[in-house]
Amino acid sequence: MQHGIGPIDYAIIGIYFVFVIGVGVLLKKRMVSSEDFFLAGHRIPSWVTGLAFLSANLGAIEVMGMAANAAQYGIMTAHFYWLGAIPAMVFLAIFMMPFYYGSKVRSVPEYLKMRFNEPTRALNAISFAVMTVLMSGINLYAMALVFQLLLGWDMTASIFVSAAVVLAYTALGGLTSSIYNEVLQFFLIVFGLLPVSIIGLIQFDGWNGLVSKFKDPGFAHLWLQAGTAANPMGVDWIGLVSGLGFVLSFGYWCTDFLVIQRALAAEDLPAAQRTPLIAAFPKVLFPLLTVFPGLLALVIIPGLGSNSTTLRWDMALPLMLMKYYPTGMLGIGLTAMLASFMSGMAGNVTAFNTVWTYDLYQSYIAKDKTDSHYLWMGRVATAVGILISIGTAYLCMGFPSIMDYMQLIFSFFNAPLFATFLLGMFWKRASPWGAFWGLVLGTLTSAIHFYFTNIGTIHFTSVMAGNFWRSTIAWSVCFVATIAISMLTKPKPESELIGLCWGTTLNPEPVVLSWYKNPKVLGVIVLILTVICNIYFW
Amino acid sequence: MLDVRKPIGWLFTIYGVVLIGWGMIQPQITQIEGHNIDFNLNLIWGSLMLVFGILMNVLVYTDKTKS
Repeated sequence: MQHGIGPIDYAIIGIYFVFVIGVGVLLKKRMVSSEDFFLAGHRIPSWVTGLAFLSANLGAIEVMGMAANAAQYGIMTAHFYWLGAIPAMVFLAIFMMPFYYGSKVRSVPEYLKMRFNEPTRALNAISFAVMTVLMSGINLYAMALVFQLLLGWDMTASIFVSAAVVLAYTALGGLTSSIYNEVLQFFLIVFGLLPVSIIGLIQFDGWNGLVSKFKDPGFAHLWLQAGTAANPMGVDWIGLVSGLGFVLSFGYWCTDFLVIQRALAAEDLPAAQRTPLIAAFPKVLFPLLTVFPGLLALVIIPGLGSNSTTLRWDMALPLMLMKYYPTGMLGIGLTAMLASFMSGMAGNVTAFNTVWTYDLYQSYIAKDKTDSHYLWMGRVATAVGILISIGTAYLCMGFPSIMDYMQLIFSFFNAPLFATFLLGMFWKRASPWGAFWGLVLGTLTSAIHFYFTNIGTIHFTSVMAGNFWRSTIAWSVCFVATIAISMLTKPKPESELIGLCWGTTLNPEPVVLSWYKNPKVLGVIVLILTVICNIYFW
Repeated sequence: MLDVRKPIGWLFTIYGVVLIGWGMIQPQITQIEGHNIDFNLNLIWGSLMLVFGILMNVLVYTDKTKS
């Protein structure tokens, strides 16, 4: 059974486009100040920001990349969730959110300005702006790839159509519009992809039946072969825990403004803290939607991973949709993928326009303009960000897999930044120039390491292993350099650090919350669930 | 503020109706290899989406806390 696409599927995709633009138009009336546009006016309930937090990240990487990775590396891919994302999200909620939300910053670079100094902020704002447009191109590229292969659309045409839709709804409704579409998209992903996993589980009589079909039994275990690097991913447990578990995921989830921005839109601090936690619960189960179809594809689709474009790893999930879904349902599945790419891109674009407008334009180019001027600038930045993304989509085409491309970007920008944040938030002595030079040296280390990996001086068994180790090294350099330079330079006086650093906070009256609203209780529950998953798939 | 459950509710209601309609006009039976199970995925999943869509709408219109 292999299905083709029919007119009904086009109709279903068309309905979705009408809806997202409609939401943008409805929200446009509400966008009167720049605060509305960039921070959604701080009035979004936490279940909405929580799902948006989850979905902003649920772009092409997650949906296509994780399935591809699972087909390539087995269930060890689930480490991105059960070792990486969940602990980092809990850490962000409990320990870091009080400083982000409490300091009333509008962006992550702005926090760096308050905690350290202007140059650190400028450095971070520029590198973040570069990173977001590099990332958003991935989504455009992935979308174009799927539509070219499944629908026969022209690559360039589908890049432009997708870009136009994202432009329409983000320029109209700003962050609110992005957040609304992210929530909508979350439910589409669940409904659009779940039948693949259900049908697969029936076909193989459950997990053990599928496992018995693997040629390499290591594909069914998270940790069993992680004692040495001789496992499908080519990384031992030290590399996994330090590179992925610590640096890459904490670096991403705890400092990437793309996701933090969703939490900042929440109505109060407990709601902001709950945002990553509400996201963490579905995230524990997400491997069922993303990793599992990749494992199915490995068994069901012969020749997957070969050089032909239709059978490349990235196609694992789309091919499973074609395999299992009749027309109609296929339209829903494709809409879900399309929606995830668009929201992943919109997330990058809204984060980009905020950092550009607040941290670069307002700070260095045009100070003291009217609020409506910055609102206008935000819309312009949206359009420019999307135009640049079209360019980076073509850049992305040159890489073998989107996952490798993304982790490479992260190892450059997020890995050292996490060391800066860790020291900034938890060590009062970390000085402004220590942070600045630590960040510069960490990023440089990544670049040098990448150069030597590329010319073959340093060798890794898989691209992913290289990314993990590069991140660990860049983080360590930034960490050590920041400490060393801080000891030699003048720290900020403690009076300027109130609310920005551990041990300086004027603790507000503790609010008594019922257990299901208490971030600490929620954090512990989700960690226990994660440990159970690790043990079950050991 | 536009209640986010409203667009979700309506989109899923429409999708549910479309899938059920398509499942009836053109029944496509999914058979699972090695199993004696066959079903009309559009009908089953369309019904689930419809129920979810209606549920979201019910939540919107019964919510007394909305401003």
